[in-house]
Amino acid sequence: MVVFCSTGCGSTAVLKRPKTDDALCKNCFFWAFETEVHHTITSTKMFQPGQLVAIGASGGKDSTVLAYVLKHLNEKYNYGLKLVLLSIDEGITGYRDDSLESVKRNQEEYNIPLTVLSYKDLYGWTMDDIVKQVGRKNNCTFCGVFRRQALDRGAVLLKCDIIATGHNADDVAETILMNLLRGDIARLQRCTFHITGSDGSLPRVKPFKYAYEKEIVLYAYFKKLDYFATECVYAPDAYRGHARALVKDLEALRSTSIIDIIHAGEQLAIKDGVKLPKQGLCSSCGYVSSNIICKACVLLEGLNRGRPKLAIGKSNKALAELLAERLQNAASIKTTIQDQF
Amino acid sequence: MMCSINEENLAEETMVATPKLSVTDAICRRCNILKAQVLLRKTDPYCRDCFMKYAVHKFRSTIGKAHALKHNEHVLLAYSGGLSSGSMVKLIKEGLDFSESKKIKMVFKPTLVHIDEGLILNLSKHERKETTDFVLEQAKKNGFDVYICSLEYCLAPDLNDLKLEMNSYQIEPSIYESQLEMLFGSVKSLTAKEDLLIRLKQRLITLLATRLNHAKVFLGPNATRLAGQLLSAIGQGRGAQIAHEIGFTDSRTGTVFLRPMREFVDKEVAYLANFLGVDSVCLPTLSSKLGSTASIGRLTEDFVVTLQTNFPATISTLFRISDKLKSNIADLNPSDCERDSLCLLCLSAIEESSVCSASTARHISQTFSRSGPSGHPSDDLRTHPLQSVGTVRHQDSTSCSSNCNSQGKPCCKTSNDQIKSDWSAVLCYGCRITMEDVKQPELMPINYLEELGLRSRRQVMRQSVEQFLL
Repeated sequence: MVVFCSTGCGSTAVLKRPKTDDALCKNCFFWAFETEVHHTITSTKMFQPGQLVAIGASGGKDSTVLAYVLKHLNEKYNYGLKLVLLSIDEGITGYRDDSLESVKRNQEEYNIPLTVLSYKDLYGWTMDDIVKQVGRKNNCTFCGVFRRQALDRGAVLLKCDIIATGHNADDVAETILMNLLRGDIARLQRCTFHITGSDGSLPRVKPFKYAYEKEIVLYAYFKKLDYFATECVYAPDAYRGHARALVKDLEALRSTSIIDIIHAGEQLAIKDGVKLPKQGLCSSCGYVSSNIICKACVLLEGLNRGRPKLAIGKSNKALAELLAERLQNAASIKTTIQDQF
Repeated sequence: MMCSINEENLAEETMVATPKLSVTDAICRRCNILKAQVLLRKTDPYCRDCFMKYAVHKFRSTIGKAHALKHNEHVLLAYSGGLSSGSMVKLIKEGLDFSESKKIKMVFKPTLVHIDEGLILNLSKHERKETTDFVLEQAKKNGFDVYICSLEYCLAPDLNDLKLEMNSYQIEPSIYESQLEMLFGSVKSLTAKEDLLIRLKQRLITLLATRLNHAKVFLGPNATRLAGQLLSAIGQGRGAQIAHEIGFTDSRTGTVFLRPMREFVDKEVAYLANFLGVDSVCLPTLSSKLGSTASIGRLTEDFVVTLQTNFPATISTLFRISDKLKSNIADLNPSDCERDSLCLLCLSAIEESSVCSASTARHISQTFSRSGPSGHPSDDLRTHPLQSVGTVRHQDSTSCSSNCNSQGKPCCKTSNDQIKSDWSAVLCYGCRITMEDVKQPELMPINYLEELGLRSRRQVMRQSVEQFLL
């Protein structure tokens, strides 16, 4: 049986759209996917003409398709943006090596300049080294904390105005459920914002915020885009896995569930009088932090002192320890100065 | 694939499963004398007396701290016959009898109310009678009066003509019986069926409370149920309604619904029922005998129960966060809020959709994959790079595709779509999703249809004078 494209264009449909269950032909799907991303970009006024945009590129499907679509839309609609690819090399043998190859191919095919920054350059440690120190249980904490800052630092180095990441609708829905389950009210509210981190750090945007993961894969499949699909060799966060499984099950029950969850998340507001952690700047590195010293600095300090587990779990305790030490140092400097005069 | 850790959300303190406590010969942590009989949260052993003190205190403080009840107020207790509402009834009974001078006696006047849902659960008359007889018997045992009403009356405009007898019940044929069966038969998904049942049941209890002149109703869902419902509500786009659906008070319908059992998890209810000697009937639901992926409600409830066994903080965490949430829509007083801006079905405020929101994204995805590039010339978009594409209206009636260019005849989609789009304008996002699956919306209660017509006409009026409105 031949199924025709539901737009009535007359072509034979080749796919069932995961988001709406409509049967579409290849071209109408491309058009719908791209126009929806375009709508997300324009309606939120994500970019300003002339901006230099760093695309966080991991070599995976999301960032590969993001680079392709952003380049395409930029040309088609004259956004007037300059695009660069920014990759972070965590130093994980067998995971990052291969995906970096894929990013390098993107660079050539799409003709977008690429910069690779490594944890080794930025922090003096590769993930492989860190895992040797902390074992495989808490390593993801290091990787995640470091990566967030690494993208930011890299983009600043490249004099970029804004960072675009490949987070898709599935990721956002998963994050909403995750923050609910973890009771993290501040992040629950922040995670649905269109633009985050504009205070103190570079603004970040997610052009795929409303794009389904499955549609991104379909897009890559029919456009024959090459990406590298692999799981990190170090075990992923088990608790997040529960939220992810729930999102997938909900999507299977009702295809619009993912967007429905995001809608629910967007409608949430915090009651008056509920205290939220204040965001300030890290006194050590100047990065956004809800504490006097940011998590990355505390983690790094622990690593450098040979006490890598210092900041895992209760970070306040670690922080207090660090601060006490710094005060002592300051006091001793003061006495030395006084002695000298 | 990208790393599964989302850097924006990295766990500061990742959830840790609590280690198991050795419970043989554990001593009650409260009195430190007696041998423990129950274990709460995997780590806290209690003896029977201390557990009951703890539970009674929790129950009373849940009611007390909300200052929701007046002295000697009449309250309806929604009693299903299950463990949770059964324990609620028993706790209230004991609270009223309480005579220890130091403690304050509970002072309000309860009456039980039970909804006979047998019709849509395909139960035989005999099975329905067994349940209602049980309810009557329990009410008598506790010395409370009880009213029983069959679910199909939720379709009635009001209950003025209903023969409502105190402490007795007969299953009588009514004009709404087949209408209710057909309405539920026309619902495409179990998820929508369950949501529709929630809305219609709430409507019926409101009608009953009005008829019986009661302003307040106690509902029996416990923490485990509500935590599942919280995730289910999120999964169905009901973010704005969390406070009403999960919180202690829900006053959307004008009748105030209160949930005094909301701080007890399943396990605590089981202990309570056991110690209080609560009898219960096993109640089938719409998703009975179906797997855990039968509906969104079932899926999320099973999810919470599974997670709770490994991470005992799950339910309390969900509760703590939901108590801090409110709707994004400005808190309007129901009285001075225009009726037009309330959802016809659940009476929540209808969300406004901005140009850049999930509800708009959902809408344009549906429009785009039905109209295609020709329906929306891209030149339109090109003229304003990086500017807003323009407000997308939900009431847009999607024009039919070239598939049905039959001249003269009405377009295949419009007539059916007209009804659909009329409904969508008077519903909140969550109810809109549910009604999308209801294939025969004309079977809904007549007041809804009248209100629907009224609002559509007002909408037309507003559109015709729009340019003169300031």
